[in-house]
Amino acid sequence: MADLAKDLAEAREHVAPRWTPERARRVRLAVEERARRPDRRARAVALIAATAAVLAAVFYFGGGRELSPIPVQAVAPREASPAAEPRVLFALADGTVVTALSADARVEPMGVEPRAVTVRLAQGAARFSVTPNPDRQLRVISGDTVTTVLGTVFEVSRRTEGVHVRVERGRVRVSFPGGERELGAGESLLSPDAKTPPAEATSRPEPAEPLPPRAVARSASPSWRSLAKDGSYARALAGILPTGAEAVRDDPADLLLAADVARLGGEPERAVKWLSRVIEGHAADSRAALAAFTLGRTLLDQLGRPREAAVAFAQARKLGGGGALAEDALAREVECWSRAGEATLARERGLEYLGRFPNGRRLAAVKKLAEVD
Amino acid sequence: MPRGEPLLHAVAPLPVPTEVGAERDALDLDGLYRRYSSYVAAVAHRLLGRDDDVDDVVQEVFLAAVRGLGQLREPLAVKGWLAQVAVRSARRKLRKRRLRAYFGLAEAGVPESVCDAGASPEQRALLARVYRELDQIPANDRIAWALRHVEGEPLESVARLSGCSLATAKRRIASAARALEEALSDG
Repeated sequence: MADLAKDLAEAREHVAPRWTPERARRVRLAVEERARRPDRRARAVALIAATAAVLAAVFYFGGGRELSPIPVQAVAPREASPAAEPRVLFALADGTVVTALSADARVEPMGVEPRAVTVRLAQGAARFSVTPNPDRQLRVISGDTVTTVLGTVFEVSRRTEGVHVRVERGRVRVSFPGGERELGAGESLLSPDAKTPPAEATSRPEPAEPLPPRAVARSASPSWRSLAKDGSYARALAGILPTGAEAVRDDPADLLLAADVARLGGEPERAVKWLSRVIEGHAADSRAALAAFTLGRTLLDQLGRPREAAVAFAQARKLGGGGALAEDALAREVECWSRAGEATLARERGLEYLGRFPNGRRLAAVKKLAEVD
Repeated sequence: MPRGEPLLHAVAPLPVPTEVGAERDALDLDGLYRRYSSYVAAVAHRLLGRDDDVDDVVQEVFLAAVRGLGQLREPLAVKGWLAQVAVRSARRKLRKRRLRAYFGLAEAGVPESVCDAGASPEQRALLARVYRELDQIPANDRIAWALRHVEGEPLESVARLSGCSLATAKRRIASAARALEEALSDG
């Protein structure tokens, strides 16, 4: 056995898979595809749990009382007709789930941490059912509007006139350029994307009408866009490349979508070009800050260019005007300068972070990277 | 590579994660996959001894990550967490493989595919033989042995990744080693 161990020790470094970028990309697409499908095991567990709960309740109440309709309504119809289940866009292990209310709904996770989860509603309308957790906040960024919750059920829709938030249960805090408002059950609010003041909150529950499926659909070259919305980024990119610049319209939504396709399709350099066009050509648009933040991530994470990334994160802070991205962007700036070997700049930005966010979520990491106490 | 050093770090070099970097990579599938997919593929490949199930394991690991990372309280532990999921997934594959073999449904394995192009013919032959024999060993024993002797993981790490006690990990490694010794000395 000693000889075997010796021979193995020399041979084992050759035990390696042929893990090529193309293979990694293919598997990644398969993960995304499977992630979009409902979790069969979780549904089976939910069905068993619901059945057990109903049986236990029947047993406990001796069949003499009516069961509360809420748990039955919440679980049974969904299990009974899985074909009618809404498309799950995002889910957490604690039971928090985001489902599509419109065909074009797209939600992107921006941060999943023990104490905070941040997602972006890129387009369409979605329903957020958030499991109560006083130690964890969930934030939904939609344009300039940020909805913050601890545990509730609410809907967010991106519409041409702005972002619409409607609360079914619990309370949420909605922040938008120039204001902030708390909404309770049954209340709704239309927060404008532009600089106009927000519509008054109303206590009258609005009907949860589905948005027209093509409310924000684009007219030209639908193929790469629909592929991108389905998560087939490599195929979407292949659809853009033959026609080049003409395939992407000069509007922020189209440019951001193309940048997503390029980033996730393995061509980050092209994403830089499209994101830069949003920042330079549409600086007044509410999405310019997000474009700058995404540009920073692309430059830092995918292209290994920390100096340029630092500039992009600084631009994101400037364009966002101290909004929801400010803290993360400043922390990323510290990281960029640290990675670039610019200790002085990292320290300066680190001190700025400490001053502005003394209880910030990234405090420990920033202190370490900036080498400040 | 210095003897005794965990092999994973040598074969699948990963940038030392900064605290912010690791936190960030725990944030989204994009960063997580970019940083750790090759690592997970390497773990799966060495445990399974074949290339054909590796994609499935990587998929299952990152699917679990999409659905379960919210529970992870310590972002810096993400790499170990992914490895644990990979081990569990590989165990299921190995058990299915043994079940198929029991019913005579096993497909012909290609043990040579376990090596990269840099392996010498002797090393190819040795590894092919070892993995052929490992196919006859119960999944738990095989995993513990492979983690220890192919991955080069310390015993504590073998126990943690296998989800068992240190004593059980030692017993499984010894059991697999005995079976291998017998099989290889017969040949």
